[in-house]
Amino acid sequence: MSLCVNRLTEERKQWRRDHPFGFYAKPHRTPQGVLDLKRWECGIPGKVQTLWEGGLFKLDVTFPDEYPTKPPKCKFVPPLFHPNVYPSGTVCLSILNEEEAWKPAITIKQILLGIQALLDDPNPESPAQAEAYNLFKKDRPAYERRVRQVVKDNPKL
Amino acid sequence: MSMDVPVQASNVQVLINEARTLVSQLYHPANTGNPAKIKAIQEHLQILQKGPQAWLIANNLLSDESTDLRFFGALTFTVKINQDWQQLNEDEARELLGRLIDHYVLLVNGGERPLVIRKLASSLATIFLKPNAPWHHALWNLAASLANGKHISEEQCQSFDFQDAVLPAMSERQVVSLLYFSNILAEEINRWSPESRRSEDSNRASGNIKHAFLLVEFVLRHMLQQESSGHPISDGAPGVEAINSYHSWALVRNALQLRDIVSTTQLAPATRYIVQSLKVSSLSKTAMQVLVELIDWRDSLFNQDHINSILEYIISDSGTAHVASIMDADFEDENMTFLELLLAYATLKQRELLIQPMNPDYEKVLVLLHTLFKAPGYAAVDDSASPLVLEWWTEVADDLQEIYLDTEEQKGLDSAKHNLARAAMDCFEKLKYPSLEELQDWDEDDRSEFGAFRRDVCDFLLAIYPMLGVELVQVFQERAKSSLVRQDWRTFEAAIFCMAQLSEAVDENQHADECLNAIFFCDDFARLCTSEETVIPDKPRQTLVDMLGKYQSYFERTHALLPRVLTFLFASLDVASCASVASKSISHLCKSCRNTLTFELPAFIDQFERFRFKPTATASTMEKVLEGIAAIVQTLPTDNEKAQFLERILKFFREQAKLARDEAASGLADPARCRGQLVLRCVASIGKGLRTDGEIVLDTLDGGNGDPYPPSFWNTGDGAVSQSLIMECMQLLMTNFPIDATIIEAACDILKAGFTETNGPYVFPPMMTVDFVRNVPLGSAGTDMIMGTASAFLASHSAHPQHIREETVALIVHVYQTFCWMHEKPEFYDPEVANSGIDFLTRLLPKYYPFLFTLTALPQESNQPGVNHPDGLQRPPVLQAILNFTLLSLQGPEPLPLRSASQFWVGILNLPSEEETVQRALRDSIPALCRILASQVAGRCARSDLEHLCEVLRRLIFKQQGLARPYLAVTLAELGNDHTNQIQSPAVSAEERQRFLASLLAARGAKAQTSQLTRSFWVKCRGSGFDYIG
Repeated sequence: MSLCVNRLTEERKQWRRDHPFGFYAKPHRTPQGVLDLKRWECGIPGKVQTLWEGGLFKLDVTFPDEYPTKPPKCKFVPPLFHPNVYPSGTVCLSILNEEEAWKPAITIKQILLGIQALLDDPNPESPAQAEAYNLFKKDRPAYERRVRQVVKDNPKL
Repeated sequence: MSMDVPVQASNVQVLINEARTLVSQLYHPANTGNPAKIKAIQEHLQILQKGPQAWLIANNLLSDESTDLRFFGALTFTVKINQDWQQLNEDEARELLGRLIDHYVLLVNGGERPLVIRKLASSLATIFLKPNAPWHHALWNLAASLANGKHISEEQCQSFDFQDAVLPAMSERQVVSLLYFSNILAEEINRWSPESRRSEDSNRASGNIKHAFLLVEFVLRHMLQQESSGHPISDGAPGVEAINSYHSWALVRNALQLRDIVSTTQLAPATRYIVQSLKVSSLSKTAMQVLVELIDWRDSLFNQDHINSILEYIISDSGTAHVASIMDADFEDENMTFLELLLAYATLKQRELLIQPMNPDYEKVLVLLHTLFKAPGYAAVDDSASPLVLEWWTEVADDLQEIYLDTEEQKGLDSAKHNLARAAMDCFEKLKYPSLEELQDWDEDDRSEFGAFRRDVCDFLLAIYPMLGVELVQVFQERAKSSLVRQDWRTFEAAIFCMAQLSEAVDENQHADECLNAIFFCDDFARLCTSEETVIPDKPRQTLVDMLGKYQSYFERTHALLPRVLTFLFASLDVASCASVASKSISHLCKSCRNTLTFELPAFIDQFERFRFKPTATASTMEKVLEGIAAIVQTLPTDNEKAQFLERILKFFREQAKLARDEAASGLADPARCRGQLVLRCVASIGKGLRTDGEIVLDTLDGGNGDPYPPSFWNTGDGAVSQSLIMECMQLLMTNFPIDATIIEAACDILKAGFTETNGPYVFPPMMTVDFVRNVPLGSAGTDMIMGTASAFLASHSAHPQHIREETVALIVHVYQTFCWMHEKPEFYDPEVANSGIDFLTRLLPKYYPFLFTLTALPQESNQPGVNHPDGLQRPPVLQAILNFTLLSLQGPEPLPLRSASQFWVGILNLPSEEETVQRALRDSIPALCRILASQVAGRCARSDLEHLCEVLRRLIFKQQGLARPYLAVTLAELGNDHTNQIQSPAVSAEERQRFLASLLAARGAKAQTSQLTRSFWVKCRGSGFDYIG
C-alpha cells in the first residue's frame, strides 16, 4: 500500500474510534459501490451558541497522491457563503496550505475542527469570496441574516 | 544532598510545619469551594517543593501519620527529582533510591492506601527514567527489597531468582504494590514520544520487560488456579492490575521494538492466562478490553490456541449471556465490551467466517452477528449495538467486494452473499421511522444520531449492491408495493428510503427499470398520486418526494409516468417538509422533459395558481416551480401561445409588485422588501426557464444590421405586453423602494436572462442595463453583482463591440465617476465599489480596451452630478484617473481591491503593447507601478497579498523588463532610507536586495521561481518571526 493509502486507512480507523459529535467523515463510494479512499465526504456542524448552530455543511475532502506530504483540498458542496471560502467552495485556511501551516501530522479530525472554528471566526485578512467578505465588513446585520438563511438551507438531519 | 544532616534543623522544622499546615488547609473541606485560596496554597506549596529543603520536607512528610501528608511527601519527591536530578552525584542518587525503596517497603507492609503507594511508585519510576540513573533491574530490585523487608542493593539481589525465589516469597499485598510500580513504569515509558527516545532507553526497558511479564504470569496463574480449584476469587483487583500491566508492557514491547527480548512464544503463557481470565467474572471485562485492543495488531501476540480459546469463550454460555442481555435492552458497559470483542474477533476471521465452508462454531458467531440487529429500541437512540454491528457488516462488504471484483473464483461467495442479504433485511427493521408521538420525546441529538444511522445503512446497501445486484432493489420494491396496498406507512417509508439510496447504483443505467416499473405503474401508486382518497402521512410523503427526486433519469426515460408523478409533487408543495425538495424535482423534471409535458401545461398552471397563496409558497419554492413551468411554456409552438401564458403569470407579479410598493409607502419596509424579493426572484426564474434547452448564445456571429435591439414580436408585436410587465416590475421595485442585496441580485438575474438570447421577452434595450447600473445608489450592498451584470452585458455583445460603443463608454464613465468621488471624499470610500469597478474594467480589457484607452479627456456628459471636484478643481481625464486609482489600490490596505487591481494590471500588461495608446499609458505608469510593487514585496504588504502582487511583478518583468528594471532597482536600493518611509527591516542588506532583483530578472517571470523568490524576500524583510514553523 502506498503511504497515502496507508495513512488514510489509519485515519479512517481513528475516526471510527473517536470523532467529535455531530461530524461525519467517510470515503466516497462510487455508483459501482467501490470505496474511493482518496475522496472523503464529510459533514461539519455549526458550533453551538454561534450563528452557525443547527446547520450541517457538506464538505468534499480530496487527498493528493502525495498526501500527507501535501495537504488535502477541502471544498464545500455546494459552495458556502463565507468570507474564507472561494466561490468554487474551496476553503482558504492556513493549515490547508502547503506553503503555509500544513504539517503531515495534522489529522482529518483536526482539519474538520479547524474548519468548524473558521465558520464563526472568519479571517478578514484573507478573503476568498467578495460576496460574504463585503457583507461581513460592511453590513454585519445583513451578513448575519444571510448566515441564518444558509443554516436554514443546510439543516442537521 | 543529605536527609540526615542536622544543619539549621530549626529552620527546616519551620518549613516542615509550614508545609503540614498548608497541606491540611489544601484538603480542608472548608476550602474546597474557594478556588482562589486553593490556588494560593498550591503556589506556596510549589515554592516549598522546589526549594533547597524539599528533600527533607518530603522525607519527613512521608513518615507522617496523615495519609494526605504522606501523599504529599511522595509528590514532593517527584517534583524535587525532576527539578534537581542533575545536581546529585552517583552516591547521592543511590542514597535517594535506597531511601525511597525503604519508604515503599515500610508503607506497603504497614497497609498503606493504594493512593499513596501509587504516588511513591511514580517517584520511583521518575528516578528510573532519569538518564544515568543507577538502577537497572528496577522490578527485580524492588521485589527483592519488598521480600527482604528493606532495601537491598542490585548486586545483592542478583543471587535471588526473580521467578523462583523472589515472587514466591512475597505477600499478596507486596505483589500488588509491585504491580502498581510495574504498571506506572510501563505507562511512563509509553509516554515517551518517538523523537525523545534514546537508544539507551530501550536497553533500560529491556532489562525489566521480562520481569514484568513474569509478574503478570505469576499473579494470573495463582488467581486462575484458585478459581479452578473451586474457590472463587473474592478480590479481582490484583488480576485486573496484572491484565492492565500486560497491556502496558505489550505496548512498550511494540514501541521500543523489544520483540527479540521477549518473543511471542515466551509471552504465550501470560497471553494464555489473559484469555483464560475471560471466564473469571471479576476479570472478564478488563480481559475483554485488553484483548479488543490487541487483537488486530499486525504483529499478533496470539497463537492459534489463543484465538480458539477466544472463540470458545464467545460462543460459550457466559459469552452468549451478554448477547441475551443486549436482547433485553441492557446496553451497559460489560455487554458492550463483549460486543466489541465479538466484532474484533469477527474482523480477524472475516473471510473464514463468510467464505470458507461452514464450521459449526463459525455458524454460531454468524448467528450472533445477525441476532444483534434485533435488540429492542431505535438504533443509536436506545440501541447502541446495531450501529457497531452495521459498521462491521459494511467493512465485510467492502472487503468481499474486492475479492468479488478481483477474482474469477466465485465459489464460496454464495453463502457470503446470502449472509449480506440477510444483514440487509435485519437492518431494514431498524430503519423504520418513529411515530410522531415517539418523536416528540426525542431531542435534537437523538434525531441526528438516528439520521446518521440511516445514512450508514445507505452506505451498507450501496456496498452490497455490486454483489447482490438488482435483486436487492427488488426486495425493497416488493416491500414498498405490499405495504402500499396495506397502507402500512412505516414499512412503506423504510422501503422507499432504501430504494432511494440505491438510486445512485441504478438510476443512470437501466438495470432496475423493470423492477421500478412494477411499483410505479401499479394502480395503488397511481391512486396515491392522483386521487384524494389515499392520505399518505407527511413523513412517508417526504421520503417519497426525496426518492422521486433521486430517480430523475428513470422518469426522464419513462414519460408515461410524468403526469402522475408531477401531480403528486405539486400536491406535496403544500406540505412544509416536502415543499423544498418537491419544487426542485418539479423544476428538474419539467425542464428536462419539457417537450413531453406541453399538453399538461394548463393543469400545471392551475396547480401553481392554487399553490401561490399557500404558506409554503416562498420565494425559493415558487421560483423553482415557475422555472419548470416556464420551461414548458418555451416548448409551445408559437410566440402567441407563449405570450398568453406569460401574461397570465406575469400579471400576478405586477400586482404583487404594486402591493409591495404600497406596503413600502405605508412604512412596512420589511414585508415590502420580502414581497419585492419574491416578485423579482420569480420573474428572474421565469426568464431562466424560458431559455431553450442548453442554449447559451454568446459570441454569435454578427447579424450585420448593426442594431443590438432589432424590432421583434416581443418589443413591438403582441409579446410587448409581457415585456412591459417585466419592465414594470423592475421599475416599481428598483426606484424609491427599500432595496437590498437580494432584490439587486434578482434584478440582475432578470437582465442577464436576456443576455444569452437574441429574441424573447427578456431581451431589453441595451440602455436599460446602463441605466440600471447608473441608478443604484453608490455603496449599496450588491454592487459586485451589479458590476458583474455590466460585465455580462459587455460579454454578450463581444462579437460586435462597436454596436454598443455608446453604452460601454457610459459604463466606463460611471466607474470613473465613482472612483473620483471616492478619491475626493475618502469617507465614502467603499472597498466593494472599488473592487467591483476594477473587476469590471479588467473584464472589459480583452475586447473593449480601445474604448478605454481613447478616453484621454474629460467625459462629455459633465452635467452628471459630481463630475467636477467639489472645490471647483478640475478632475483628471478618464483614463488617467482610472489608472491612478488602480495604482493606489495596489498599495491600499483593502485586500479585495488590491487583488482586482493586480489582475487589472496583469490584464494591461497582456495587451498588445505595440498599440500607441497602450504604449503611452504604460510609459506613464510603469515608474509608479515599479515603486509600488518593490516596496510592497519588501515586507510592506500582507502575506496573503503576495501571490497577487507577484503575478503583476512577473508579468511586468516578462513583458517590460527594459522599462521596469531601473525603477525596480532604485526603489529596492532606497528601501530603508528614511525618506522612503517604508523601512521594514534594515537586516536586509543592500547586496541582498540587489541579489533579489538580479534573481528576479534571471527568472524572467517564471511562476514558481518568482513566487519562491518573492516569498523568501518578504519573510526576510519581515523577520523570521513571520515564517511558518513546520
